Amino acid sequence: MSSVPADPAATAKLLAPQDRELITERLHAALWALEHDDPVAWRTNVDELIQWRTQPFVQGLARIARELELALGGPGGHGSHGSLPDACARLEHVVTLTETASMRTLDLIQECSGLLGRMQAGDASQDEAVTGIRERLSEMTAAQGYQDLTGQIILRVVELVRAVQEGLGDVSDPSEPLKLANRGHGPSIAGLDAAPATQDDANELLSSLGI
Amino acid sequence: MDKNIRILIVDDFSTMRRIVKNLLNDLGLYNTTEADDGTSALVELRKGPFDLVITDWNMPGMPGIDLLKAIRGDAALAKIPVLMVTAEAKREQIIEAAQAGVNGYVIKPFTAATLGDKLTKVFERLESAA
Repeated sequence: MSSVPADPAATAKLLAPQDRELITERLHAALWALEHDDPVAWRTNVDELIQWRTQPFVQGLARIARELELALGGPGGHGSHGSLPDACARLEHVVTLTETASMRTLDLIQECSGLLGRMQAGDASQDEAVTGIRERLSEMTAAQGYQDLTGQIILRVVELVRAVQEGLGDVSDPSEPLKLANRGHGPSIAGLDAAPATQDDANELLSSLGI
Repeated sequence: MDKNIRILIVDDFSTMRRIVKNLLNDLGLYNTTEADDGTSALVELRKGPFDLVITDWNMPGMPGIDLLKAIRGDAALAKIPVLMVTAEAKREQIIEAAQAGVNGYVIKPFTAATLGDKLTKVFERLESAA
């Protein structure tokens, strides 16, 4: 029972005077009802106590729901077009846009490579420059991988938002955790996730495992 | 490295499939086929002989780790080398892939040089083991 403050002064600090009075009154009434076999009065007083106890939690939930609604442009917000599915559609649009831009860049890289191929062999410095350009074109190709990485992160957020939406739609079992597909963690985000293994870490780990 | 080897590229992002394909082309490897998850990869693998699988981990449908296990569990496919190219970079995942029989592990984002280097290593090891 060490978590219950025995010191009346400490208890008083936790409760506003009017709350203290209300609780004392309700507890006395509940005890009286229990001792006098009055189930209706017992339940009424206990329910009042429960309501008082859960009020901050319910108020917090209501505030989060209202802020979410406002952020999405729902009733009371700036627009009427916002909603969770709309937010998901916007994020998916970003993935499509970056995919188009990446594909366009890859087209141009391939065109450059084709143009280099049409150049006739020149002196050593020209051949060296062509080799250098080819290496850089390969690295530009690899760098387009950002689309896959950002896309994975965005699609994971979309999945999370959809899970929240489904969760809001069915509050019958709030103890059930949000369901996310278990197919991997996606790219790590600095400041949010644990630091990921680097290629050097992976190399070391694999060689220690004989690979 | 034999430039005619047949390579299966598995990734749900078409951008990444094209990136890997182009980088293989830059290395002189042109015989490639693509699949967008483990299930479609297995269909391709059972259609014809492949010399190498380059797969992502995180894909809808069958993820890369399950594809790797399915390949190692199928007598007809078990010997195909598998290179994992993925953003999944937790130690336990790398260990899981190693235990499942992966031949190489490239963490995204990667450079063209890293991919070339890992491919060379995979084939060097296979040749020295043969």
